[in-house]
This record gives sequence, C-alpha cells and structure tokens, in this order.
Amino acid sequence: MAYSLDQIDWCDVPLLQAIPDPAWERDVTRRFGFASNLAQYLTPVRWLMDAEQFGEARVTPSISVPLRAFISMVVAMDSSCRHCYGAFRSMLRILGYPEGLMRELEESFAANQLTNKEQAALDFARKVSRSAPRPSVSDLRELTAVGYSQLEIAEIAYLASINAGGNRLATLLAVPPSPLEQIDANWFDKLKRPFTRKEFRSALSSILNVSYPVEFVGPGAGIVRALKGSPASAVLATVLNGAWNSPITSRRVKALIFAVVARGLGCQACESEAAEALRDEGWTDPEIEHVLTYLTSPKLDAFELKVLGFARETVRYQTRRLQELAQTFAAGLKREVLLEVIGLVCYANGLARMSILLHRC
Amino acid sequence: MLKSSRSLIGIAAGSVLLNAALAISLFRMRRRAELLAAAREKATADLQNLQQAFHQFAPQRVVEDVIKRGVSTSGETRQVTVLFADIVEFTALSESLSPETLVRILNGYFEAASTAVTHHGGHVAKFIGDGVMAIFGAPESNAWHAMDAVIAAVSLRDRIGSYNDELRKQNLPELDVRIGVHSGNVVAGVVGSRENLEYTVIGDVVNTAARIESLTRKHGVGILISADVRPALDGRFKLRQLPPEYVKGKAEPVVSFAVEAFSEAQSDPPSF
Repeated sequence: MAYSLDQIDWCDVPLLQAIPDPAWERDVTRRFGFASNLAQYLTPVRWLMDAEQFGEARVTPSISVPLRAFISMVVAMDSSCRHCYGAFRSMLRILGYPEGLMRELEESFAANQLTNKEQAALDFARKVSRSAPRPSVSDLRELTAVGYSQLEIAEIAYLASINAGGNRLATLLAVPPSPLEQIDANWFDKLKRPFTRKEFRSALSSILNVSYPVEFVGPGAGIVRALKGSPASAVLATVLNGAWNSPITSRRVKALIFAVVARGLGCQACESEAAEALRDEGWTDPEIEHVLTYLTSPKLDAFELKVLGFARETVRYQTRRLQELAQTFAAGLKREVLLEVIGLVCYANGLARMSILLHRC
Repeated sequence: MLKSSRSLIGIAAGSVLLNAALAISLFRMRRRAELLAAAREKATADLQNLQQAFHQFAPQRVVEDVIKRGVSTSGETRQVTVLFADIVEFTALSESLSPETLVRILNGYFEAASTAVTHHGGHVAKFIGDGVMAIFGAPESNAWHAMDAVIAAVSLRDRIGSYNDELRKQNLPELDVRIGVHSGNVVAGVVGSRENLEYTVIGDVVNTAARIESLTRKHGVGILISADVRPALDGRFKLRQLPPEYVKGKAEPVVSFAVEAFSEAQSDPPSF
C-alpha cells in the first residue's frame, strides 16, 4: 500500500524492452480509436496485448467515467503500482478533479467531494483488491443498500479485480511512469487542457461494442457467467479463450498457476475450476492436493516448479521485492514464455478477486 | 496651481506608498502561504511515512480504522505459525564481551534473523533480549505459513552458520541459535492503551511456540517443530520424531519433531 507516488520504490529499468508492433497498433487504432501504450511491453503475446487494450477500453458502461478512474486509482494505490497510480492520478487531474481531492483520498481514504455512494464503491474496490480477508456477501449488501444495482456491483468488482491484475502486470514488468503524467508539463499544454479534457472524456466515454456472446470453458468460466449482462463478460471470455488456447505454455502450466493463486487467496470456487482443468490433464485429486499444499510434486518439471514458486509470490507482495523476484524468474526464459506466465499470474489474481461475484448468483 | 501640483504629488506619493505597502503585505502573505504549504507538505509526508511504517506491522484495514476513527476494534481469529529463536547461553556470552562488541554481534544476528524471516513471508513481531519472535500468516494471510516458517528457520540456521564464519575471522565467539515453531489459531488485533497501541497476536500458540523453543535444549537439537506444523511439510524436510515432553502450562506432553535437513529437490516421491 502506498500513500503517495513518492513512496513507491520502483525499479528504474523495465524487465523487458518495449517492442512496438505497428500492424497490431494500426488494427486496434482502427477498432478502438487508440492503441494502449503498455502493449508494446507485451509483444509478441497477442492475447495479452489484446487484454491490455480491452483494459483501457470502457467495458463497464454502468460505471461513470470519473468513478472508473477513481476506482482504478485507489486500487493502484493499494497495489503500490507506480505506473498505474501515476497514470490514473493524472487522468483524474485532466478530467478536472482538484489536487486537494486526491490528497484527501490519499491521506484519509475518503473525500468530502465524493458522495456516500461513490465512497462506498471505492471502499468495496479496496476490499476486492486487497482480499485480506476476501470480501463477503455483507459487503455486497452494503453496496445494494446505498443504491447500486446488481449489474453495477458486478462491474465495480470486475473493474477493481482487473485493475489489481493490471497493477501486477505493470509492477512485474517495471513499466516506467506513464506519459500521461507529463501531459500538462509546460504552459502550452496547460493552455490546451480544456481541449485535452474534452478529447479525453470522449475517448473514455465510448463504450466498447462487445454485444456478441462469447463462451469460455476453463478456469474463470463461472465468473464469465456471473458477469452476463455486461460487456465485461464477453471481453473476459475473449481474453481467457486467448490465454487458454495460446500455444506458448501448456494447459497444465496454466491450470497450475490458476490453482496456486486461488489457494493463495483462499478462493475455493476458483481452485475447483482449476482443479477440474488439472483433472482433464490427467492429475488425480491427491496429486492436486499435494501440489497445492506443498507447492511441489514429482510430476513437475524444473520450469513448472519455478512457475509455481513465482505465482504464489504475486498474491501479496512488496513492490520492489516482487520486481527483483521477476528479474530472477526471467533468467533463461524466452520473452514470450516469460510474458505469458506473467500475464497468467495477473489474470489468476484478478479472477480470484473477482470471484466475489459468484456469491451473488 | 502650485497648490494643486503639490496635492497631486502628495496623492501620487501616497499612492506609491500604499502600493508599496500592499506589495510588501502581499509578498509577506505569499511567503506565509508558501511556508504553510511547505509545512503541510512535510506534515503530509511525515504522516504518509508513519502510515507506511504502521502498515508493515498491521493489516491495511486496521491502519485505515486507526486513521479514520483513531481506534481499531477489528480483532479476528487467524491461523498463523509462530517462530521463536534465541541464542544458547547468551547470558554467559554477554558477560564475557564488552558492551560495544556484544551490541555489534547481536545486531548481526538480528539482521540475519530478520532477513531469513522476511524473505520467507514472515514478519518479525518482537526482539526480546536475544530472542526473536516472528509470525507467519499475519498481518497478511498466507496459505503456506507453516511451511514458510520452517523454511525460514532452516534459512536462519544457515545464515547463522555464515555469520559464525565472519565472527571466527574476527576472533569473536560463535553463536548457537535454537528455534521453535508452532502453528494454530490466534486472536490478532490492535491492543494496548491509547498511548501505546500495538498490532499483535494473542493466544496459547505464542506460549507453546516459546515452550517448544525451550525444549530444543532438552532434546539437544537446533530446530524443533510441533505436531501441528508437521502436516504442512512434505518429503523435502528430513524430520526426526522426539519423545513427548511435558512443558509448563500444558496438561498433555508435547510431541515434537527435529528438523534435520531441507532440500529444495523432492527426495521421496509421495505415494498417492
């Protein structure tokens, strides 16, 4: 947890070099109107690049643009992600929110300018991101009591969880501070701020059109179903399909990552789904219990052992130590393998946090 | 004419003086505002550093409670593992060394203990004389707290081995550290008076962990774990069961296991 940007001990050198993919950028710019800046650190893992792009699009239409930015900022604060915290803080500044309000939030986790309803959403988002302990049905009831609908609650939980995963992605890759932080660095930029604000609001308000139904079978399928009614459901299913069918790492590695992170966060529903996937890969129940209890098994090869040790460290962490662990973990791994594992641990963390939605059903 | 010129000059002079006074006043106000802003910045930074430091010892929601309401009443039952370590015959050692040398040796030992604990997900709760009490599973929950605590104990023993090499080179006495580990439920929360609050864990687990550590002398072993820790360990840990012993405060004899070795590689394939 960081209480200001300065407090975050952030590695100066990114884990991997940025490698732009002009063809992908052209394609997403045509579809979304812009290309994610962070995606160039994720090339060539296409599903992860797409996931990052979706993360920046608006797939939670029931949540207002400012509330979305506030949720993203408090979750990034909670995760001590220098890149995301700085980016969302700048975004709020560009949207016209005063520095004082952000300071209030940083110092006392509440702000006078926010309504009780907005404040309740931020408190819930923190609980989801932190998951210590995991939020409960009573937390959902509190949101209903202040006037949120089931769909709004689902989208708040989605947003908080996806951000918790995204924070891990930026942290593990030690992505440098966002260019957004410099958006009004000189007098000319300050002068054109009203136009920038308008442009920004319009970009953030355009809702991603993902009305097509997408099914997914595998770890996370229950959450995809729980999100039905929101564009986030189809987006999550698309990302999970991409991850699950990617040939870079085996399904067994993927299922192990999801299972270990679920155990680390005490999410039984997610652990059951991952265990089901491991059974499909030929694991017996005692073998699954053994690997989740001891984080080792005679069935694992050296790479899988290394991956499990790494995955558990991403559940709760100190920023700098996690970045150092990522550097150690990266040694000897191909870029695409490293990126896929990092992407998987981030999504596993996001899904296990999002599973609060399963209580709703 | 002359009179009106004089009055004009007077008005001009008065206006200049007034402007100058206003400028000085504005300058002073601005300066005061800057000083106030700087003081606020400093106070904010101090508060944030304090919050950050407090967060090392208490869960985030407890920190938030204290910040928002000045108190936290959120005590909760948690499953944790407690590790106790201390130096064998520390009293004799302390009598044979100068205070400076003793403090230097102790600091090296505490450093080794803190590193071993924090690198394996634990948190040093207290230094008590030459003793160290560490908690695994609080403030942050940890599904593998018992296994992590035992790996930390082995790591601490190895680090003390390296530290002894350094001490030997300086012709200083070597340290012999004994460690006890026990798991169970505790109540975790902020306790104490308004002036002296601390986040801590309370329960029989803490006392039993200390008793198990003291049993190491009786059994003549370096690391001793309780039967409650045993299920968290697989074939990578070489364990030896020891005869049950009565300890203070326990009606039943305590079953314990000596940790003789730990290897990252899986040695004995489990039978499924």
